[in-house]
Amino acid sequence: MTGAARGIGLAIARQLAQDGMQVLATDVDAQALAMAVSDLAQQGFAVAGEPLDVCSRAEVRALLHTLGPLDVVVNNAGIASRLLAFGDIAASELRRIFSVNVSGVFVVAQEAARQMKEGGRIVNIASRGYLGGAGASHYVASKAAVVGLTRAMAIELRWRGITVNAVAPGMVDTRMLDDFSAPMRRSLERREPSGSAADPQTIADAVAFLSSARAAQINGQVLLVDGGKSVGMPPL
Amino acid sequence: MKPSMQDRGVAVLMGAEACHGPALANGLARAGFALAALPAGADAPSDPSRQSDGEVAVLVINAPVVRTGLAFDDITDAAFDAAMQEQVFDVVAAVQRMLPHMASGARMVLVGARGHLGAWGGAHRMAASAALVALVRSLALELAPAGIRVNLVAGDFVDAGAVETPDSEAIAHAVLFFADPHCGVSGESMLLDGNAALRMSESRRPANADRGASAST
Repeated sequence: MTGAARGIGLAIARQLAQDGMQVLATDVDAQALAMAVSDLAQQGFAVAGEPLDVCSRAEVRALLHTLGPLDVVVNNAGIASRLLAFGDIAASELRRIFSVNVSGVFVVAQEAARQMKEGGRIVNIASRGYLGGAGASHYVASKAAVVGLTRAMAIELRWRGITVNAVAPGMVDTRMLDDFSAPMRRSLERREPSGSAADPQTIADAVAFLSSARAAQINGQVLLVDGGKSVGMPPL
Repeated sequence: MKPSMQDRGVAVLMGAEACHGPALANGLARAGFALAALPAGADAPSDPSRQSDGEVAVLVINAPVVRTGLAFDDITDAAFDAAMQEQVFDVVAAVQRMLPHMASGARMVLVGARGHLGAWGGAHRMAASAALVALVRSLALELAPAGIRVNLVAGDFVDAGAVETPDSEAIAHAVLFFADPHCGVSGESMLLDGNAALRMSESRRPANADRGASAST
């Protein structure tokens, strides 16, 4: 799995290890990853860690070649960006976000699928934001692209017995929220059904389910884990 | 009473050379808009149809998606990047160039593809199609205070080099619906794909679905 050093990724790594999988945790931040792996070891979870930049096809290929056949791939690595009015989104920023959030998912999924067994599971982390959001067109478009990719991959790969699904988190308590000022964060939290950002474990639980044999009949789906905000909330 | 040209205002059509372009141009002109038809990637006209800034009533960005049979495993990084560039980054840039020219109450209509629902082959183009749906929703939210409405017509995939399909007239019609000043819809994606999605046509494995059956990008 990718983007495993912190936040949602770390929670997923711990959960999959707890579910009895042999987990290889990767992250572009080697130092943070080493700390995460060490913390997990102290909690009794033997998780392997390898630095990985999902933007590098060569790195992804080299790492995956050291592994045997894969059962599960979780594409969690992703970046956000501060809120930007549409007219202010620089082409370079749009490219940067798509490079990690979309191309990164594509490269890892494509390389991983080549060595995946029948019954394989690919789970991509999208975002509730894929449904649209003012001031976040760049991030939102990238996460919608993840959903589109998920559906297209699901259509093609199921003939090889591989399912591809996505989990779309709402507001989760991770470092990604550091992009927002404290007042903005409080304002966003007030717009959550629970009144606060969710625990990363809630996302890990959804990913664990979609990664399991129990989800064999679920393919090409987006599981929104957002406390129901996407179906509507009473006005503030 | 039939509105005069001045009443309907200026319509800018970007991607006039692409598939559906002639049908869109004819439709907009017949509806009484003063039409500026431009190729994809064109600069915003400094003087759209000889009118001053802030006078564009309708912006149509025509970006149909060519169907490729390219298997997931055969998509190269270059093909992936090109799809993002053409279907997303270029569209974002076009909207950014045109926004300062758009009047309050203006309508923006994108013509894309049903790829956001997924399809056989060309997963990169499906990902980019999905990004467009989200862009339309975000833009609709963001531009609502400015009184600008934004919608998408999601057509079926087109053949490379084609300038029209049996759906072109219907797509032009749908664009005119969204382009009407009295159409209150915003942020929507209208499927106009010959019922392909309704029939769940992508659930059937095409005969040529095996790897290596295609070479297009």
